[in-house]
Amino acid sequence: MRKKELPKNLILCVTLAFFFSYFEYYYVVLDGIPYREIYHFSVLNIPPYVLFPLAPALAVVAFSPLIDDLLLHRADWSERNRMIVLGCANFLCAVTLYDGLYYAFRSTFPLPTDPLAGFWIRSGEASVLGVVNLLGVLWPTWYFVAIPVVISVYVAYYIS
Amino acid sequence: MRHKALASLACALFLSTVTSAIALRTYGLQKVKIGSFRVGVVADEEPKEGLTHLGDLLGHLGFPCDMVQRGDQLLEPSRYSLLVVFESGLHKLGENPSSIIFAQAKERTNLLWIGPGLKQINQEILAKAFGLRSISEDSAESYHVAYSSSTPTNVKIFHEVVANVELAGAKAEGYFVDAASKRLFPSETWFRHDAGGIAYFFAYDVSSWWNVDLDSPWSRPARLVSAIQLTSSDSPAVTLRPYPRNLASAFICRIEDVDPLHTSSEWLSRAHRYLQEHTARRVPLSVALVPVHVDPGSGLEIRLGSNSAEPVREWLRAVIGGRGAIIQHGYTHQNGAQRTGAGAEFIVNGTWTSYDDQTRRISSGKIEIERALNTKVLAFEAPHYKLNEDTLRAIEGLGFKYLLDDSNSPFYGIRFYDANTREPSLATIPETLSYIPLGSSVDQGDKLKETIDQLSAYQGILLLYNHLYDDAAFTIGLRTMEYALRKGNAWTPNINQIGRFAFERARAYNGFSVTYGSEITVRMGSCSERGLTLSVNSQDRISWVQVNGKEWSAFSANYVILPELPEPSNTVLIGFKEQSSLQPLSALWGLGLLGITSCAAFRFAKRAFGVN
Repeated sequence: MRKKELPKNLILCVTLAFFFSYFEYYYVVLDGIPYREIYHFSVLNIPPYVLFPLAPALAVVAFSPLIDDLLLHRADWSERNRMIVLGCANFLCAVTLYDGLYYAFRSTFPLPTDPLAGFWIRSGEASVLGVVNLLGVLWPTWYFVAIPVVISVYVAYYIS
Repeated sequence: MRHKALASLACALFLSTVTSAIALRTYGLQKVKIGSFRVGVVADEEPKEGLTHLGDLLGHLGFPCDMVQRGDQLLEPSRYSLLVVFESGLHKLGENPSSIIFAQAKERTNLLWIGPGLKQINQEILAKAFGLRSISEDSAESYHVAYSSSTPTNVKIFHEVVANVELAGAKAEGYFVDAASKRLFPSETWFRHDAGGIAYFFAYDVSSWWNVDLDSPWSRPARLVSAIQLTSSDSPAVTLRPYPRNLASAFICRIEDVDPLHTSSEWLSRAHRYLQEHTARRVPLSVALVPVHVDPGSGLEIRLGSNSAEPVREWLRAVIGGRGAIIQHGYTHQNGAQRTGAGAEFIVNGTWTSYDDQTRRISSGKIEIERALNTKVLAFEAPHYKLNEDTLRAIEGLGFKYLLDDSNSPFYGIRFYDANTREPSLATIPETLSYIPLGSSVDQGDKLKETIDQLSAYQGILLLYNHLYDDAAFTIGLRTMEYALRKGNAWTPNINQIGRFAFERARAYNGFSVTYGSEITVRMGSCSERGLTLSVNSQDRISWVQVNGKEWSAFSANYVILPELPEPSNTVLIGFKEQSSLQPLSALWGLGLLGITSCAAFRFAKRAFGVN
């Protein structure tokens, strides 16, 4: 991947994450209550529509440079490995942003009919890994894995 | 070597974080149950209007309740938090009902006595349990009683027996007054007995004579609800709210007596405008439709599917397109030589038509509507609300699920296939706001608003029906709808939606029980509708909720919005103190995880990108 391709791809992932998050909070609702708050999720406390099709859609966009190069037979194996790592970072970045934005919308610009309006994430809403209380605010534990991975990969890529 | 050790440490820390989080969530606190919240009704089970009203009220407001049976049920400690006693049920308490009532009072059970009958209770126990002395009982006329005056409403007293009592420690919540508003003696009292429970007393049968006083049709249920809420205020009460997603009221607008002859341009224009106004406010219409118009005098018969009925069919299709629903309103809404709309269909000169005849007529009407509008009809309303047991059997047999009725109650009524299995077969939606008569004035609108205020105070159903006779009916109907919506947090379903919800809620209510200790445990039946709401009356804020063993997040300080309940028996655990299994990990864990993941990821990323 050429260096100018990363920002482009990253912007695309961020935009898509923002759109999905906005769409889920404001439009995937039942009489004004977001589905995420009404559904009972059986797999790792993750909504099924995140597992499919939302996550695959984000993955396709995150890995699009790799897919592009594979289709055009443009890159060698070492270049492909780099692209896989970057694709993973983009994907993690998009998923984290998508999840965080949902709670950001709820806490800052909530639906008037949402019973959890104004609330940031609550402990019962986190995935099976739970939450970390940092400075009085709850954060999903998996953010503490995903965010350093994303930043490390981007930094390493730029200094390479 | 150093790198390998660092990577191993990172992996070990990460794995320990994961396993500790999972382990903490799996093993919660052990629960201790110390009491139950349940209403017991001591009454003769012979069907009586008052008892039916009380049952519908408790069901609608979602109080777990059952009829007290003769035997040792009452001897179980803390079985009931509130005991509602009618004189007719005293025989169920055995040879000496006074001692049983006193024993319940000593166990801190709240008591609610409805109507006369205090003479059967030992005077000493009456004073200790209710703070009252019984003087006499007689007809209201003999005492010149006209009203029971209490805040905020006056209750009209009819030809009924009332009890004359004297306060012996109790506080009067209302007094009987005569026609000149002169105060006579207490009509409602409450008393906190020695054990700490509350005893409430009605000197008249507040569960009867509903919807009889034309000026204030729903004041009696309002008083009864108020008394039940007062007597339940001490214990951690959990009730199943009547509407989904914690909504406070339900407003339904029904257009009445529409038939295939409703093709005048004036009526259709009004109906289209009415529909537009409602659709713009996301309020669907429900239409009571007579599928065949007949006038035997002139030999006229117009069916809904006929060509001449196309304009009204077009309007009906627009109603359905606007989230509305169709209610079958009989077949021809007449019998014999009458023209459509003039008479009841299933009763002729005081004689009910046969089951077969009723079934044939209803079935023909259903087929006519479903063919003409290509929609399924699930709701039925008998012409002039005249129906008997045969009508109910016929509509159940034909697949109707919801019945519109004038049941003199502002609450859901549920009919069951079987009293033991309690599987609902028919949900009754009552008419509560009455209709807008021809040539109504503004006063009619004001009266409707007063009734909305009264019903909204205790979550009664708001169902208005409108024939759209004239422009006044149009305007009043619209203003009434807007007033109901302005009260806020209103649900605006069509008749099928509220019926389906009532039906599913009845399934969940079946087996509804509440026990409380360090947390509250609620057991409920199945429900395929999302959004059932448990209202929790507790001094503490809800801190966590589990539904069938899994954490659930849709709750606020004092209510829980539930997901679908798929199991025949579902358990909801409500906690008020942060549970160890749900406590978030400390910041140290988070920062440690952040640092180690950063180190490991950066090393990996550098290698992947060939950075030295």
